[in-house]
This record gives sequence, structure tokens and C-alpha cells, in this order.
Amino acid sequence: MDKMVGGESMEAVKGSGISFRYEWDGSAPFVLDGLSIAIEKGQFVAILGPNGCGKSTLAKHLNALLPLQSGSLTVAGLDVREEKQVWELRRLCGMVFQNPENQFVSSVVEEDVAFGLENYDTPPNEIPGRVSRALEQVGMTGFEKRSPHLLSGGQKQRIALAGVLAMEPELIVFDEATAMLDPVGREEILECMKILAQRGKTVIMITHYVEEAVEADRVILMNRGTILADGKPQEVLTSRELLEQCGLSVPMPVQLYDDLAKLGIRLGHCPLTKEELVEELCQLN
Amino acid sequence: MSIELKQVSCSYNFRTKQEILALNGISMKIEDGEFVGIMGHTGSGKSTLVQLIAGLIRPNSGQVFLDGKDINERGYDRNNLHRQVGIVFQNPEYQLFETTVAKDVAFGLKHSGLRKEEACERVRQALEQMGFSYDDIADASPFALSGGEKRRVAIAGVLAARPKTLIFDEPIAGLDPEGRRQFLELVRKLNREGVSILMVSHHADSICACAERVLVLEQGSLVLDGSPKAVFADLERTSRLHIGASQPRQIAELLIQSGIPFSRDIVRYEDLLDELKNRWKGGTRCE
Repeated sequence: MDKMVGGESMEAVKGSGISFRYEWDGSAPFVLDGLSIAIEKGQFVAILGPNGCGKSTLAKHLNALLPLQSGSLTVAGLDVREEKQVWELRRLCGMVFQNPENQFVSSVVEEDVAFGLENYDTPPNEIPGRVSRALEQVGMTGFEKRSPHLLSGGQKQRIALAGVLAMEPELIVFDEATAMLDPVGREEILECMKILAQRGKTVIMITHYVEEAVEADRVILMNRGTILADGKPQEVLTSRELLEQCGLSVPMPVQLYDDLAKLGIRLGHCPLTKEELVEELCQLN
Repeated sequence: MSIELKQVSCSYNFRTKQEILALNGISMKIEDGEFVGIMGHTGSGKSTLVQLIAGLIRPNSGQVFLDGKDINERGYDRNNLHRQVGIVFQNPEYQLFETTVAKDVAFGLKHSGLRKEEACERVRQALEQMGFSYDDIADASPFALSGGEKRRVAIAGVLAARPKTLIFDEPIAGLDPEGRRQFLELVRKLNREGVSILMVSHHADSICACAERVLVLEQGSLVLDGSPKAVFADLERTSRLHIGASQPRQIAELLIQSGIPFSRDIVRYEDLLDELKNRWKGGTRCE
């Protein structure tokens, strides 16, 4: 596995027996507790869980921001423990964090997007092309000379994403990347995730919003450092028992389906989205 | 306490070439005990507005009155103002700095003139209000807590001063549903006990569930001021203002678009369920 170059393995992420605790004192609890995970290339996966369940800790293992304490983990075909490969690993596994403002390094959009490329000794003649392609992918062409901190939240986050895309990663991890955004910004970022997934990138969305997890192909539900459930949104997100067990609630359409059933109004299928709900309600006529 | 703004304008980089007008001639009044939601696009002036009310920045023109007194007049007791108006910033967890949770929560009380026992009691109560067991958490390092826990500790630090008006700037971003539910329950309870609440949020569902009144800002101007039902009546307008709409309101709109006669007055889950129940009793549609 160590020798395998990114691009040959079928799995974007493969880890087993991952345990981790923050060593701030001797009795720190396990934040990840023997967790195993496999994500195929090209999948759009939501990792869903409450605050403190370990989902961000897991995310930070994917590109070796946190060192692996036990178990094994391979991302984009690279062993995260191989220190020599850590730069390549971080190029192949891009990350977008919660607060876009914390990640800007330049006061000009195009310079900010180029920052990673420059650090990776990309030939200077390639940089402008890659920056403009990255901006195009996030719909921010025309903003090259603007100042990132004068943009809206969604635009800022898309610039941060462009900086990641310029590196041509194989997988992109969004660590609660929509949490600080207004509804429009949130839509913009979700749309970017969907487009990237359609283009064959592996997209991992870390979130505690069930409404966002609905958009993924697969939902991994985490609680207390382990995986509680793993399946299609339709399976995981309709289970009140599972979600409530870890302090989350079902999406509102599922809640309505249940509450209407109690009132004797039965819908044909349990809807996950507002659109499906309305379709089901129209069937009642 | 009542809050009144008269023709308040506020700029950053005032009288320089980079001057940005953040608030443009705002006038409004908030009565004692109200629960007001404040919404608007990024950069519309929400944070500037609440910081003016908390006396953290001064307007370039216009006046801010608390209980009828201009807070920017010479001689106004600003120490008293900061005790009476508590503000919880975005990401309050970044403000934690003490070695233990109890010390951090007590910090704001240091120069309040309270006796030590009284101060300790307030810290205990504030932590308990935020859902902690005092004995479990008091001696822990605030930096060893999870993000959601840190935020609750930071809010406890503001509650300990027992303010009459509480301002929250984007308090729920980043909280999970359980954290959100607990937080909203707390602010509702504080409001019932007589504390005025001003809550800046992008989260229309939470605003609709709690606030009696919603202020919407756009480019430094107050463009809407009314009940959640009134503010979210026109979804084209709310989308243009970047404030979205609560999920129940969106579902109602989709039903209307599908040709089902349905009320536009629905912003809360309970109202949606009621309306659906009335329309489809026993699985058939009732006209």
C-alpha cells in the first residue's frame, strides 16, 4: 500500500482501528474509539454527528493534521503516517474549514488561490491557468482582483474552496464549511459539493445538519468516537431512534410524516426533502 | 430596559477614503422585555447595530438611548451600561482564557463589588443555567472542552453579570440540534423572566420559533420590521434580502406552488402541522 501512488487504489479512504485522544492530561477520553471507515473513490459522503462526537477529529486525520495514534489509515493511496509523503497527502486531500476568514493569507483573491500552488513549487507559467480554472469551478470568475474579506460569506468560502481545487486534489473534505454562512451562502457551497461529486471527486461533508446530509449518496452517523450507522440517506436519516440516540433530530419532512401518521394522515412514502414531502401531500388529493 | 435609536449612522474608517457606511440613519425602538430577531445579509450592519446598542462603538451621528438616556453623552455611567447589557459575540469560545472554567465565568464579576460568596453563587447558577453540573466542570480547563461546551461556558460568563438586556450575535451557528434546542429554551426562559433578548441569526427556523419581532437590515438600512409572519410573507423579498425562510414557511410555499390553497402565514412547525391536519383530516382533503 505504501508504494501505491494516488489514483490507483479504488478506495479514497481506508482506515481501521483508529483511536485518538487529545493528550491535555493523562485521563483524556477517547475522541475516536477504534473506528474503521472505508470510502470509495468518487463517493459523496456525509459524516453526520453531534458536537463532540469526533467527526472533526476524524477529518483532521485524513490529511495528517493530527497524528495517527493507533490503527491504520490510508488516504488517496497514501499512508498518513509516512512523513515523507505528508505534502503529497495534503495536496491530494484538500480541506475547507468552518470559518473562511481564518484561512485567507492574501488580500487579493487570485493571490490567495495561488498560495498553495506557490508553496508546492508549481512552475510559475502554470499558476495563472490553474487559478483561473479553480475560480471558474466555483463560479467566481471575475473576482480575481477583489479583496476576499469584502466578499459575502458564501463567496469567501468559495474562494477558500478554489484554493483547494487549484491543487487538483482527489478528495475534498468540508469540515462544517456551511455552519457560518447565511442561507444563500449555504446553498452556494452545497451546490459546489454536488458539482464536484458529479465530476468524480470524492467529497466528504462533515456536518451536524441533517438537512445537508440528505444531499449525499451515503451517510455515516458518528457518535462518541465510533460509527453508529452507515447507509443511504433514506435509511439513516429516517431513523428517529438512531438520530435521537446521538442528540440529532430527523429532517423536518420525516418529523411531519410521523406526526401526520399519528393524526391518521398517512403518506405513501417517508419523504426526506421538502419537495418529496409536497409530492406526497399532493398524492393525497 | 427600553432601547431607542434616533437617526443613527455609523461608518468604519470615518472621514477617510476607505470609509464604509455600516449603518445609515436607523431609527427604531425596542420595548422592555421584547424578543427581537435581527437578520440580514453578511455586511448589512447587524453586528454594528448590536455593538452600538451595547455601547462598544459610537455612532458618527444620531443617538442611542437606553431607558431614555443617551449613552454617548458625557457623564453617562458606562460601567453600569456594560453590566446591564450583556453581549455574546460570534464564536464566544475564542474569548475563553482562564485556567479553569469557574475562573473564566467569574472574570466579569471581578470589579463588580460583589462579595466573594455572592460572586461564587452567581458563577454556579450561570453554569447550571447553561446545563452544566458545577462540581463536574468548575475546575476543568476551558480548553479541554468541546466546541459546543466552550460556547456554553462563554455564555455563562455573560449570564453571571445578570444583564437586563442580552444580545446574541449569531449564537447558534455551529451548534448541533440538541445544543440549539437547549440554547433556544434558555433564551426563551430568560425572556419570560423579563430579560430583553436581541438575537442576530441567519437561522430563520430559530428566529421564527422564538422572536415576536424581526428586524431586517440591508446595506445599513432597516428595511423590514414586523412579526415573523409579516416578514416572511413574501419569499421573493426574503430571498433577495438573503434571509431565507423557515422550513415550515418553505413547505407552505411549495404547497401553494403545487396548486394547493394554503396559508402564507405559516412560519412555525406547530402551525404547519395544524394547517395540514385541518386540510387532510383522515387522509382525504377537506375544503
